Amino acid sequence: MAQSYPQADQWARPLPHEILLAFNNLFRSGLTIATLREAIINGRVDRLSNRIELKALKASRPDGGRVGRSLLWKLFLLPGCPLLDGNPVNATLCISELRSARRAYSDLAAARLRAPDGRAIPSSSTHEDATVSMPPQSSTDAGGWEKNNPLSLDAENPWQQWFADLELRKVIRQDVERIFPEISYFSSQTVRENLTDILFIYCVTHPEIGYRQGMHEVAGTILLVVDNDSIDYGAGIKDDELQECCARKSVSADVYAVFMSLMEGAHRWYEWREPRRRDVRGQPESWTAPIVHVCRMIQDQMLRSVDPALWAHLDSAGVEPQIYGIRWLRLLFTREFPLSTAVAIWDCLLAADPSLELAEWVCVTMLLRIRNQLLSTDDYSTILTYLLHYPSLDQDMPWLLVKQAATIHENPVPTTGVTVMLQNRDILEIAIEAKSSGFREAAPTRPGEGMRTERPPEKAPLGLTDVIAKHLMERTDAVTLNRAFLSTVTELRKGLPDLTSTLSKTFMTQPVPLGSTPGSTSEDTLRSAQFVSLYTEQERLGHAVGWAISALKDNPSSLDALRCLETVQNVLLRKVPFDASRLEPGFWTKVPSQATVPPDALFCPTNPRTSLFPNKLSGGNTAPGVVGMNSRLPRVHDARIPVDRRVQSQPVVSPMPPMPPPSHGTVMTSPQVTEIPEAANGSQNECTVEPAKGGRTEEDRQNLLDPLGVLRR
Amino acid sequence: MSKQFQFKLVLLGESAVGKSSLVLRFVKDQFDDYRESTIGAAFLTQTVQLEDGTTVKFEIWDTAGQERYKSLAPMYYRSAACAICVYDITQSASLEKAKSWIRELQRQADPSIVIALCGNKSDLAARRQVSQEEAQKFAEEEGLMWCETSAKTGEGVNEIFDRIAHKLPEVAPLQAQRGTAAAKPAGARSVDLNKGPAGPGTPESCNC
Repeated sequence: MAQSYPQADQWARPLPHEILLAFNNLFRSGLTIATLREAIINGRVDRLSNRIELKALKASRPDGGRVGRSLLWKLFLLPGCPLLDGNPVNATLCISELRSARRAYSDLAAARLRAPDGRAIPSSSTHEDATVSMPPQSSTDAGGWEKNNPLSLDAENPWQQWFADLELRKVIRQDVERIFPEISYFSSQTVRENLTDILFIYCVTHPEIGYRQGMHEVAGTILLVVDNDSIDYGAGIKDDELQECCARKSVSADVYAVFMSLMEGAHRWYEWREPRRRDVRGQPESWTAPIVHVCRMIQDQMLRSVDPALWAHLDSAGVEPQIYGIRWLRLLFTREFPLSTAVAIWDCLLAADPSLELAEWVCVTMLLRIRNQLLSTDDYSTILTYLLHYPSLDQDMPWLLVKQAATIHENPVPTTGVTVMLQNRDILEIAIEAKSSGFREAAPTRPGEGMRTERPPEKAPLGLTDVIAKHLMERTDAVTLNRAFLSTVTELRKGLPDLTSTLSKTFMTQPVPLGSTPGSTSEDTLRSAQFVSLYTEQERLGHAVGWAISALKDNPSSLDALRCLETVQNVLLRKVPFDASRLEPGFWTKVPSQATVPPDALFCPTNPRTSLFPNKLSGGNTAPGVVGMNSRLPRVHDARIPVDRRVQSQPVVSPMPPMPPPSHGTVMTSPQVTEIPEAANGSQNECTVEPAKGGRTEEDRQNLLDPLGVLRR
Repeated sequence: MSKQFQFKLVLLGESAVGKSSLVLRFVKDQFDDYRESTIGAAFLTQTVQLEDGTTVKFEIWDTAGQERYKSLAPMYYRSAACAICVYDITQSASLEKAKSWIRELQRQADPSIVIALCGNKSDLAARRQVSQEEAQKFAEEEGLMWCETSAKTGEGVNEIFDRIAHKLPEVAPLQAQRGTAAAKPAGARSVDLNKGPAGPGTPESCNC
């Protein structure tokens, strides 16, 4: 029988006909899985509803797209469901997967939820009485009485296992009792018993992982979502497929199957058993838990590559990433956001990649979202409070977090970090601020000075990058590359003197030791690294554009110049990474006379780090294979430039290092800065600067997320 | 003419003995019958004002009971000035776990760390498995503070934090002489003791 829930409970079950509507929309509307995933990842589920009747999936309820969510999760996570299929989704495969999963769960339950004498585990095994609930006296002869009795010390005594199992159930039950205290669903003893069974069976069938706190909340979330869509056999819905897919009596088995599949991606955050390996001297090898390793990667490599300033800030404050990363990852963000938001993040994560590869990058985008708060203080306690009590936003935009995670995963460089900040500014209205570099004008902070008032953050000197990124993103009317880039050059020209003066104010007041490396310099220098590297990058790009303009003046149909501009465009749009090491200042001036080296070759054409996610999530062009497994669309420059030519002209193509070392010397002296206005001078009259657009429409918002699409259109 | 101190305090103990509830009672004077399990660690701060005007700010690290990583736990008690090892008076096994934490602290943590042994759930005395005498005797032998508390009723909670707040400034100069760097393992990534998280006994800012 259906349990009754309070009406006010936002997790109350929908009516059966609502579930039927969701089922029909998902499985019987001709929707392909690729379209569906693309829509979820881009936060466009409600848009799709206009076209293909996905109404039940859209965020029509206050808690956002709840009805039918379990169908999506089953679709994405059950092993046999074809995620790459271009054919319309149908329920048949999903149901056949569910059938075999249910059989398997039933067999496991029969084997592991019974005492050696065949009696079931006492259903009321709460943590108080589990230890005292003795199994009944054995009535079987398996192994003989000597071996098979509750008091036997024989190693093969099946009762030993039974007592160990009871102990494990007690540990699990202890957490299950405390799960989501604010959601009334979990106060039911039946629900707690089912959840304990599911976790218990998972642990005994995965002894290498075992039980860890946190799994209960992941499995509990799945139980909540799956049970929410479940239909009681007596509900009067005459639809065999729906009845079978959402059968309430099979909720536990379905949750087990979904949980097990999810844990294939998540178990690496839970592993804790130290391998008993010894080094050559017979000493136990030093061992780092995988979760600690992952957390360090997130902060020290992933975050550092897109936001060196924030990394330096956290690092100098002594923040160890596992402090926040363990909970973020193990629970998949259920404590950092309201549960309804967290499950929407799961939707996007699973749609993007059921192996949860993007979850670790989501941690980076979460850090970027609160970078203003983190940078606003040097106080360790305050920083930790932000990280462990994640600030809430008026609008969480879960899909944006995941989409940004995919973007920085594809191209983890500082410009991508700036792009994310610009998106957060434009979509979430989070101002781009940076910690006041302050240097010595601020009073030196004393150790542990926790009670002082925080200084208001100041505007970041992001002028040039901001101008370029914004200009290109907003240029919806730019129909030709030349126009877009020539006007960008004008902005470049205008912006450089400002930036130079900003930089000189910000960074040159303190002598910066040449040849210093991040990690060994002062905190202030570390913080400036991001701006320095951005500045250097833009400066080199300016030289490239300057060369192209003079080449075009000589020969208006110069293909090399156009390719050069196209390449600069690709760098600015983050289609290809910027390769600082291959852009020597004098290089461009040599190119026109030789005219043999295609400028594309100056940039490394592909970034090995992105190969796992080729073109992933980059917008409409990859929609059919948005998950990136079969969508290796050739990049623009790959298609135009024959590979052999590229190889001949540039035998050594090295990928860009995660963060180019800041060339402080260049910034401080910077004789090249003045060359750009001169180079662009001749073209100033030829180009027109489009007036900036006023208000922002919904289309603009999409364009901000897909600047390439704008130019394509 | 008041002094200000800032100390790192860590709570250790078996799962579900009530560590988070103790902190919630101390910091917000609240209690929930069911608290969600702590994953990793939780972090809160609370400032205590002593009679002589001294303020003691606690940075409280509330750890997960199930955390058995050798590579993780030290991060939480490293450079801690005080630790509260909590057991549940209705679960004798939880006292054994508290003792093993105490032994680890005595071996690994800063030698001058102030350790308190705390028997929680004193409101459930009817189901008591750990006698007061047994726990008190152990605490005396080991030179620990000891108390029984009930996060549910609030009994004894403020008292134990107050006792710690009184004791810490007394031992602080001793720790300062030893040098805060001693708590920092060589080569390990650690909190900068001259920055936010004050090392054991580092006076926050002395206005006297």
